[in-house]
Amino acid sequence: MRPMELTLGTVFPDRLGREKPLEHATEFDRFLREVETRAFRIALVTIRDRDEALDVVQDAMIRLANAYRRRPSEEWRPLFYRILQNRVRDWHRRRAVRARVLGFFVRADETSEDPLDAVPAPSHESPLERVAIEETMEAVAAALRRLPARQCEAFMLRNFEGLDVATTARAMGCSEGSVKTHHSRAVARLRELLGEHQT
Amino acid sequence: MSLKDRDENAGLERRAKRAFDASVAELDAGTRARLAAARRAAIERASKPGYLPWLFTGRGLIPLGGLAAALVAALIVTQGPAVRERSTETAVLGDLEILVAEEEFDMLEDLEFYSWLDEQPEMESPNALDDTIG
Repeated sequence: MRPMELTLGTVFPDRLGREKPLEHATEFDRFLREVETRAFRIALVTIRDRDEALDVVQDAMIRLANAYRRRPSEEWRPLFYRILQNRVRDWHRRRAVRARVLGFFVRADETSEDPLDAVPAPSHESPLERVAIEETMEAVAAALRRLPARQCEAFMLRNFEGLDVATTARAMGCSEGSVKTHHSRAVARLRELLGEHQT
Repeated sequence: MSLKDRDENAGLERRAKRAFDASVAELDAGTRARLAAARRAAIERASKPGYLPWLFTGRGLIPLGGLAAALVAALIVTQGPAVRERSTETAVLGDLEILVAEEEFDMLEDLEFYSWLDEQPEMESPNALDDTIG
């Protein structure tokens, strides 16, 4: 894939051909740089497949870039996470549907997972450090996967991404009161689930 | 909520955040490179005036879900009564709507715009138009 450098000639033409200045373009690029790794990790919590999570994050970035890049920059974060959550939800829904559709034609025992998928990607951490980090995060992720979707979303946006209640409410498309309820229930349930695990 | 509960909740949130931050920090170079490429692709695609979002997915040009749905529909129709009589037929057909729903929505949204654009005899100065689309 040919990388696109943001140079003095870089512009963001909108659908009517108007162009936004470079400053806005670089700010948008900076925003995506800032959120991409965290968004990937958040998507990975429930998707559990690196390639699929990457696709979902890229799809969310494309959608944000195409539809909302010209909006004020303070709106990007809630918009991006709203798109991301929708894409993650769609991914789960489509996966369930595909499983049913495939089950219509293919016997379950004909499908198999590629064992190479389990091989960890190279990292600069030592193997022991990496294993410890992965184990801890996996324990948290496994507990999160047992929560209702909205509680999981509220916890990840508030805790992992550090969004305030108002921004989380905009990202989730619900009231601030709902965010507080989802989040406090999530924390209470996570305490039960992680009680025996030293995170 | 008791003070003890409050402390324990805060402790859990701290530990979860630390685990998450560490997992982000240790993200391998390969994944970081792929994310950077995805970001550049998103910006590049969006910077093209003729961009049609419904044509692109993270993996390719045509939404695979829609393609799969079309294939399944074709199979159901061509397999004859034996297949159609199965009890899951209704569920599968219902699923097809889910598979194609989003692409259709985006597609219609953009088709409406491009249809409107085609009808314009000649674009005036773009700045004269209201910023209502996008």
